[in-house]
Amino acid sequence: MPPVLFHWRCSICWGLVALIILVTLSFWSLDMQLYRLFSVEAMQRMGSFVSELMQPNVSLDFLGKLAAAGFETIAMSFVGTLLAALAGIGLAFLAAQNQDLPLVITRFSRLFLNFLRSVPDLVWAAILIIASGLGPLAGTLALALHTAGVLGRLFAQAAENAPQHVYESLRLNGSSPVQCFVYATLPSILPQLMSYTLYRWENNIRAAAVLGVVGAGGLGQMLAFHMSLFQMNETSSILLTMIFLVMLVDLLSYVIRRALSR
Amino acid sequence: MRVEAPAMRDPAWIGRVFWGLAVLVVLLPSLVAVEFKPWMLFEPENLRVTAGFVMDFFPPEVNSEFLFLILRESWTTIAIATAGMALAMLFAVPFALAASSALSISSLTGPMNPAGLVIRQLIRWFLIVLRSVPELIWALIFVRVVGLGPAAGVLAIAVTYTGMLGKIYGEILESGDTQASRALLIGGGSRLQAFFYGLLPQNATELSSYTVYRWECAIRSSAVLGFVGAGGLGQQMDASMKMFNGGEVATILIVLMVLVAIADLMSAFIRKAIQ
Amino acid sequence: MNIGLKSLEVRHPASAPTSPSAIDKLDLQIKAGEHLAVIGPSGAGKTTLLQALAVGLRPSSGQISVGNQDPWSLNSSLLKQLRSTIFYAPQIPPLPPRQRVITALSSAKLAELSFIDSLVNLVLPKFTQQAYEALCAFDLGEKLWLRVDRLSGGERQRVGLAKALMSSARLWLIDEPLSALDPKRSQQAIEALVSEADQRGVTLVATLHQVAVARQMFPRIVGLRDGTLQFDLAREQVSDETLKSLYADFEHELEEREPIVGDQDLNYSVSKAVIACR
Repeated sequence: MPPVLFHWRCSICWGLVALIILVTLSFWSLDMQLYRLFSVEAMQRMGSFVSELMQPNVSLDFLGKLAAAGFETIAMSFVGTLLAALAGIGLAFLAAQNQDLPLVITRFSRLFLNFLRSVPDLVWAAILIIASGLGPLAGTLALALHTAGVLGRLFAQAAENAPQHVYESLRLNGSSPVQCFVYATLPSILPQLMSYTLYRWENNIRAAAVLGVVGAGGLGQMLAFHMSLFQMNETSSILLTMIFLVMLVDLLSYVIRRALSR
Repeated sequence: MRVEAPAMRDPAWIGRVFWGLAVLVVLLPSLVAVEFKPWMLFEPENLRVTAGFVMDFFPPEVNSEFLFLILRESWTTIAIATAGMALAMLFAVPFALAASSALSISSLTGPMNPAGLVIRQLIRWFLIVLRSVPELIWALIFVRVVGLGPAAGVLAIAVTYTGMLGKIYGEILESGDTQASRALLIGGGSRLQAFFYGLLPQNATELSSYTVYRWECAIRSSAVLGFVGAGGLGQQMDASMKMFNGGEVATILIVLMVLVAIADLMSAFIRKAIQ
Repeated sequence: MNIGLKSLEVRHPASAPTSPSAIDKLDLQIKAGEHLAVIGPSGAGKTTLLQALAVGLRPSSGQISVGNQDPWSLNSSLLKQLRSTIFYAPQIPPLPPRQRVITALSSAKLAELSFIDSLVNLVLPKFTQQAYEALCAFDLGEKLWLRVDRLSGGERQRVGLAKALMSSARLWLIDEPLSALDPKRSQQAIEALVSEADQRGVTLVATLHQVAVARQMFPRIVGLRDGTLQFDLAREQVSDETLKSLYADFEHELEEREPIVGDQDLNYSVSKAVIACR
């Protein structure tokens, strides 16, 4: 009934074998001592964590701090994403291959975009903290830099896949490449760009919540602080606020995308 | 004689002004909350520290002992991601099957029965909660429970990705062609049979493709989780940064970029091969 | 502006080296201010000819001179200047669907605008009056503020023609200006186009399938077939036999519709269109 399980010619079979080897090697080399997860000590600790997590601190005073940190976090994600989208449009023009710019500019821009997006936002945040001190500015700029790389690449792809008809016509009539980008390419890809940006905002609210852990302000910084003091009641409130913010941004993004596509 | 048009003023003007003001109303307080003073980066004191830090990057640290360490940590990063994904798939598949309406027997002959609806919705919400808490937070929690080291990273990735994979697998199964599996269910087959012989073959390509894409993301995440003590390149980078060793940080950054690029290429290659 | 083509050979960019050229050994001289209609069956090379004249397709052999210079030997900034004096309207009007008509029309003026000005124009349209007058010439005045995708195919084609009136080009190359228009609108559009070209003294070259309109509106007719010039005659000399042999095997494309308004007084037609805007 089931066909022969393994055939030496079949490349998918080799692929699966390689996969199994990879997974086994991973587990084996990590020496994770997962049994520690099930030790009495660990179970006790988990137990006390869970019980404390079930009782979030909802005192008015703390709620006030949560609101301020929450607003800071969502502002970070908003400003960071906005800056990234604006920069992304400019970078997309420089990096897209069909915008009649010298190859050297296109190649270099692509490399620059790859650089921006390969460095994780947390690493950018750690670097920027050195450059501008602790606080949400480092987090915002870190998000902006990383997201500019991501969006710039997506935007450039969108520009390259856009229909060229109008663009070529404007070029033939003597307009400069940047004018043609603004008058021909952008109008046809704008809905896509907005969609990418909104999706990225959903991602960035999670990222913004987390960047604070290395000192970039917002809920993350609060979380790291209270966790280091093992104050799980406060930690629980902060986690709930994070989940709430994430759902809020997901909802806003969905609503805006629906409104725009009408 | 040319005539003056009835409406020579741009009718879109009012709408634009309104939305422009709306954006400002949201933007300005945000800029304040974020302490948006980018000129701070260029203050002489900060500039000096930054310049010193950046100059420290050159030359990157390339002595063989360090390079060997980094190579090992890179493998650790990949291993964490792979192990985490494997665990995530293990849990995500049953959840996806349970949450997917593609295997609902009651909906074959009319609307889904209410118990089925409720259970499926609860599972979906559970997956959403798993997804909404960022990995780093899970990593922080697990570090407290199982101690520093790669185990915390693997568990963090496993938990978050169970949520992500569970949701997307469920969506892929639902949006694919459900005819074969429904035929099996109607004919009296069990749900497992319907999955293995109906849904899985139909959607195998898309499922694998998405999994490979997520594996690539997991590598990126795992590199970062190290910052909170979950092992791998991130932990090493945190250590080097704390010692202000710019050369080591530079090397790790380069290796990280190369790793991400390789994972990117492999992922694209594998996904093409699957098609 | 003067145009000269000598022994011009143009190949399609994607064609195989052994396939026949789209334009083969074409000789053509056009004097500044002339109005010229290019006719011929499908595949004759009419669009290719316009693209070559618009300095969009590089000839594989032969010479082309536009405005008394060889355009392909110019450096990029001089070439850009030359391009700004040529207006090429492809058969499918180049209008981004989500753009408003006012912006689409003002894009004809981009070559004269600085970068900042072109950006400002997106938010604060600068050429409202001129755009409105251009639209009125084609009976579309009320569409000024609408989005392009709210217009019908025929309306879009006419907006594409109105773009010509916005630019300061000295050479208009119009590819099939009437393909989406009904006979009445065709007549009004071609009359507006020719009269505006006349008033401004621009050189007008249009490809047409509507042979009757060509004979009525253009003093000089050029016939193409399979990429070669079949005839180059004044309209009085174009007889029915000439047309029949040009369109041999393609008789179904020979549209012999009589023009609706047999009015030779072009100024009257144009002012009629303007009055319709009130």
